[in-house]
Amino acid sequence: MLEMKNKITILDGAFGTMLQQKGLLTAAVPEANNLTHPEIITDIHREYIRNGAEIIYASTFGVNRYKLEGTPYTVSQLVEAAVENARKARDAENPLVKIALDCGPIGKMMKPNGDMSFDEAYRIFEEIVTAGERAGVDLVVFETFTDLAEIKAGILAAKEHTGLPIFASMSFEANGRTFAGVPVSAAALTLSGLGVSAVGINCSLGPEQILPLAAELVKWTNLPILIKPNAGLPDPETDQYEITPAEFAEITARFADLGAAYIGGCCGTTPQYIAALRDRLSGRRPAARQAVHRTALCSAERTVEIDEVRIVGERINPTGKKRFKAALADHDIGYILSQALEQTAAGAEILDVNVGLPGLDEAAMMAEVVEAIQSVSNAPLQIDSGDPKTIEAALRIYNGKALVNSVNGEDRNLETLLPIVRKYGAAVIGLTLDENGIPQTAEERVRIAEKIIRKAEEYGIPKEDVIIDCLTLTVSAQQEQAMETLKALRTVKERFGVKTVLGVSNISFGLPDRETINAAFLTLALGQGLDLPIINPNVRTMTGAVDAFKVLAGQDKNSERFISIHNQIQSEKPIVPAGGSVSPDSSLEYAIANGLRQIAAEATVRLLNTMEPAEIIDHILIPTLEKVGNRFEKGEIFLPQLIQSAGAAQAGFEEIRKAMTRSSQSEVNLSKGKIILATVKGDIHDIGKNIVKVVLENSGYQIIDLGKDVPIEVVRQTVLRENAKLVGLSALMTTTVKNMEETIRDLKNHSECKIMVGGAVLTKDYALSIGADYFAKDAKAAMDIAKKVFEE
Amino acid sequence: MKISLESLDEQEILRTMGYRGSEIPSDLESLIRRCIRQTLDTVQPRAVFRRFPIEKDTGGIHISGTDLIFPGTSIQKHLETSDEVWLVAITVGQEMDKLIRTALSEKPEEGVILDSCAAVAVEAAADKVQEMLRETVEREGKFITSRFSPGYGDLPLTVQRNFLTVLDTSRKIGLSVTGGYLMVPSKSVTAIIGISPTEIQTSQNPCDGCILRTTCELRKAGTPCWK
Repeated sequence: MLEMKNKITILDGAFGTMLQQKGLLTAAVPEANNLTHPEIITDIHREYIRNGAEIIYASTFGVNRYKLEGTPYTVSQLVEAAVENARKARDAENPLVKIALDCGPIGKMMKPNGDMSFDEAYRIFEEIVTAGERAGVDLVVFETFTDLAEIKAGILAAKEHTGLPIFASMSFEANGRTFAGVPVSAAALTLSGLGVSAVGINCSLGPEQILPLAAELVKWTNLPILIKPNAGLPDPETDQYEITPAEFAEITARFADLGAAYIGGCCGTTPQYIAALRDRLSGRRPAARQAVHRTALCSAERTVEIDEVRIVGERINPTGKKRFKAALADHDIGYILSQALEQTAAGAEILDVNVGLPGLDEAAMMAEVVEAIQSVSNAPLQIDSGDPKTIEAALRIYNGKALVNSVNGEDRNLETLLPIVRKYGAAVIGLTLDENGIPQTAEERVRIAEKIIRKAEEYGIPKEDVIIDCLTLTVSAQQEQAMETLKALRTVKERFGVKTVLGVSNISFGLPDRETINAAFLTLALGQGLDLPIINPNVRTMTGAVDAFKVLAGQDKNSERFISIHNQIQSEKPIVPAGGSVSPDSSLEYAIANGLRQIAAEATVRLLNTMEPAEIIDHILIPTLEKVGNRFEKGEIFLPQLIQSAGAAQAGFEEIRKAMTRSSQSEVNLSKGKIILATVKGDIHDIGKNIVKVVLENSGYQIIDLGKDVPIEVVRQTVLRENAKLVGLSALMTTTVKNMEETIRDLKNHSECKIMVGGAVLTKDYALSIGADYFAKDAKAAMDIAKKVFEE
Repeated sequence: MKISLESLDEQEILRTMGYRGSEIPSDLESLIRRCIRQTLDTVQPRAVFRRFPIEKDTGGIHISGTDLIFPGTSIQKHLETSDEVWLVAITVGQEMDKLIRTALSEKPEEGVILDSCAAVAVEAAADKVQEMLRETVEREGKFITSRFSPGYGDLPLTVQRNFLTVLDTSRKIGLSVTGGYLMVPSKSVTAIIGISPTEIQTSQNPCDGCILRTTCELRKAGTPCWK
């Protein structure tokens, strides 16, 4: 193990730069030099040790299964050789030197941007770190990462398969974010939560540019800090780095003033740089750091600190929502995403995610939904489940630091869930109830809160990561409880200094005009110090109450936020089509033709008074969208207009669905037929498929969208299960058209379904030659094909 | 290196969306302008490029000092008079991909417009890099060819992975390739630019090398993308 010394530890410098100087960087796998030129590798390590390095990184940065594809080398072979070369250097120079396994990014992008799954990354890292531990390294360093999910996969692999201490370091650009958009704060919160031994910043920038980033880093973690800057910035043409060893040491020494414990160099630095650094820092202690006690959550791209009231959106939850239940049962992820984005647009900063539905594999569904929401939204998520498996499935793939909703005061519950919360570094909501139910007095609830906070601390979860819920009861049933809840809330805050959360809407259950009660209770709770109201942010009186509270409590400085939001609300008028010649009560036809969502919705509501849903769909919605399609075909309108019209038709459909759900009619009979859409295996460009989806969905078909990079067997299984008559496949590149051909062949062998295909490199002739029944050159063509197939 | 973009060509954006000269409603026009601004605020165009001598034989174009080989007749023809190349990779970054993805779920028409804006942005960034390289080369009294990308003509996309490895794009600009040889971030360009001691004949029609030649609507309409 690494003992914490009360002095700065010097790390080594660049390896690539040294190999380059010796003319050894031309190999496709630089780490192969461990086998071909072991003495040179050992000599480089020895030079670093002689010049002050106390931890040396074995030359294993790019050693992974993916990068070694097509080479004669294996991961364990190169790791062993590299560690052996480092060990020889240590034995020759200084037995106190520690050897790190150096682990860089795999070189392949994770989903949703790329095609590498979390599990694939995890397995690649597992192979490397186990090889490292076998070879006898003292620690593992993950460095130069830009994707938070990828480094998390690496850390979990190291924690679950080795006993090695872990250093985790990411590379940032001058804007303070990694290439993947991860800010320093999100990296610090997430990595610290995963239980590493040090977090840091390396590569990409020189010491001057990293300095402000390191200053930010120390504000978000209590862990030791590791810094390895480049030797300045490289000249784009010569690739030479700009600063001298003396300059490097002078600026880099300033990291010690910020409290950095491990300091070395990255690209462009050589033993001279490390020697200069040692001369500057030798014997120095890192400056004392201020302890950080911030309550904060993050996604990969955004940190939300609970330092003022933050709205938690409650809408991703099937309880009492027929439409949402149907979406879950039908696997309609698109609907769930629209619920997520609608709430953040309305002011939610954190989203509660609950997918519990009897008969559904909750853990699998939760993981899928969390991944899907994170692919389009930056809001941190609140994982809402009582099932340990579901919580762990979500936390494992969650990109960032999540909030778990929830634990309660029952011993068994705490002992099951707190270790999971701790392992993944999440924050947690503690409900003030236990095996005896919900206490009737504030004091009893406070006692349970204290127990939860204590117990969490025992498991290593600091109290800033525990958020207490004093429980909203229904005021129509237990009228005196509203005030007890508020009293408990205030006491918990004052006594323990923790943050609080409340699900607000429950208060008004069973009463008319619920919003009025909800808003009043919310305001009272905010006055007592509520930090996280869980509400429906689409209700303006609720977000309005929060906005107003922030003004009154001085959280919204100079009322700036309030003024900007509420000025806008006041100036919002009903949408009138451009030109103004048509009255706002215009027809559904007009609204669809001109892509006006709001008007289409209003017109549909009016029509529902006099027409049957099926009539509206068959006589207005679909024919009008067909006309729009014809105009698109003729070039009278272009793509964004076609999509706007489909969006307007969608608004109409939504109103019809709402009306039918109210009258509890089944909506199945509205569908003209079921169509399965997929972007084929290996292909991640799905914009064309998404356009076709929007248009077909609003031409009356039920769409099952399998997404992108869809394995052949998933397409087949879905087609068979759903007994679908039509399948649409898309592929963008010549390389992935091959997979399209295989998917078609597989489908034709197993089913009678018709297949339409589309994609930039396809032609009609080619499409037919690979076995497709139809070629859809655009969304309009897909409409025509669907019509033909389902009218036959 | 970072590339700065101040504006995007609106006509170009319309063209990539299949626009054929109809009247654009004013609210759509302002939406497009808003998307352009949002794109310029989001993209982080970055480029990496390196100059290499080349060797030619029957196996293709060899990039000296690397194991990168460009096979096929199209690239041979493109580099007919060249004895060196610039290998160039440009990306507008991952954050733009996420913005497009989000918009497609929330407001699909905006997603489509942003997608086109990003496509135009990466081309504009590539033009800037090419211009810079042209100036460098012209100072030496030499000339550059147009950009030739993996996937053009008979140059297979499969060279993409090694191409990116040679330029170390994953570390330098956050650009990598998927198992299906698609670039990530999706709005990225790789190109080979030949350096020739003699002036290059530009009579060649760029459509000849394009895989979309037979189906391209823009070409049929007489307004190919390069005009």
